[in-house]
Amino acid sequence: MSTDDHNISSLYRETGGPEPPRALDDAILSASRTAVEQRHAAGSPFSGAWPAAASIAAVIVITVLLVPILKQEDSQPPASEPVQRATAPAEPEVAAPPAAGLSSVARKKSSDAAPSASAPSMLLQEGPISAFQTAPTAVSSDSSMELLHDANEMSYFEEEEAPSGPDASEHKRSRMQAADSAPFAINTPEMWEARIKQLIAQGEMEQARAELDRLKEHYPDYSINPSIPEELK
Amino acid sequence: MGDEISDESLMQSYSRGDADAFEVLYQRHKGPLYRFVLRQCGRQYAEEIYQDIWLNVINSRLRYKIKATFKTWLYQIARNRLTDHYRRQNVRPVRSNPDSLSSLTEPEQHQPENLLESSRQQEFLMRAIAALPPEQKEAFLLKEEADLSVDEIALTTGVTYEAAKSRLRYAFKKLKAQLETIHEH
Repeated sequence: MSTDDHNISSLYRETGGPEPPRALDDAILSASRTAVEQRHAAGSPFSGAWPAAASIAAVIVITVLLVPILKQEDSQPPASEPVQRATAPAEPEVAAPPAAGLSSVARKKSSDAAPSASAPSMLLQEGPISAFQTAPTAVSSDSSMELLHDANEMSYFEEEEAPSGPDASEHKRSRMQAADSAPFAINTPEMWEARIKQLIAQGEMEQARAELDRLKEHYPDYSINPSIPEELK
Repeated sequence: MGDEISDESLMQSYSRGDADAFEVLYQRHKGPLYRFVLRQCGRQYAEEIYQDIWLNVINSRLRYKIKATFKTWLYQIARNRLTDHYRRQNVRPVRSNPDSLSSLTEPEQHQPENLLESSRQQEFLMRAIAALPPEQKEAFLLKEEADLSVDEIALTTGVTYEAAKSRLRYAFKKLKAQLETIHEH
């Protein structure tokens, strides 16, 4: 930079020059403060990303709390459902032999069975196979327990009073179906055999034959006491 | 002045929420920046453009990174805003601006003789600056008002070092020639 350039620079700087108006200064400085304050406000606990995070957390908590409750409610049939199922006309593919009254051991085993989470939905399945499958695991819901109790109390040996007249067979049938759908453990063919013998002793020959057929179907390899078919002839 | 906080530190403080840091920064640069704008676009638009530049600085504070000096960044914003103004107005940068001479001197009759001569020179200088080609005027103002080096002028205006140096050289040469005409009169 030459001396002349320095002189020109000095002369220019001596001129000073205009400054921005005070109002403009105030407006700009005010804007600068406002921007910072807004930023601070945006950083408060209830602004910015916090509401979204809190909402997500709330949804998760509610889901975690409600879903098991709803599931449980879904798995519990209405109070009338066991009766409806018991009176349903549909016959199971293979009727399970009733367990109630077979032996005190079996009955105790059934009623003492530990509750299981998988039991309620399986209990609603029709047919003896499911009853066999679910028998060792048992029940968790109140309605299932009620059903179990009902079936346990029901006896094929008619220990309790049964209605007479035209309602009698319907009543018996419903009780039997309730027993069929109950998760009793018909653990052994020997128990089935004992049940058939008891039916024979009661003179329920048709039913005993039916039970025998079912026994053969379920346990084709089991050698049935030859006296039973003899008695049923 | 060695203890003075740098512009870059002040801008970073402001971007972290320190409004006082911005005020210090503003007081440092308001005069030069205002004149840089005023002498290129005239008083009619100067205030609006000047305000927009600072608002742009405020709004860009969170994106501010120290890549060059704060001044380079500030004057790049100013230059962009001026370019935008020319595009909107469909005009070229002003070559002669009577407003830029408005605040030069007091009335001549109240000044002693040596001051009168100085004042006359200043008036001539301002007229000469106003008459410079836009690129040369810009380079001159960046040097004299913003106190930028040739490197920084090149960076701010997006030209090579040689081009920036050349613009400055021509600007000074023309100004010198204009001032010499005073002595001839």
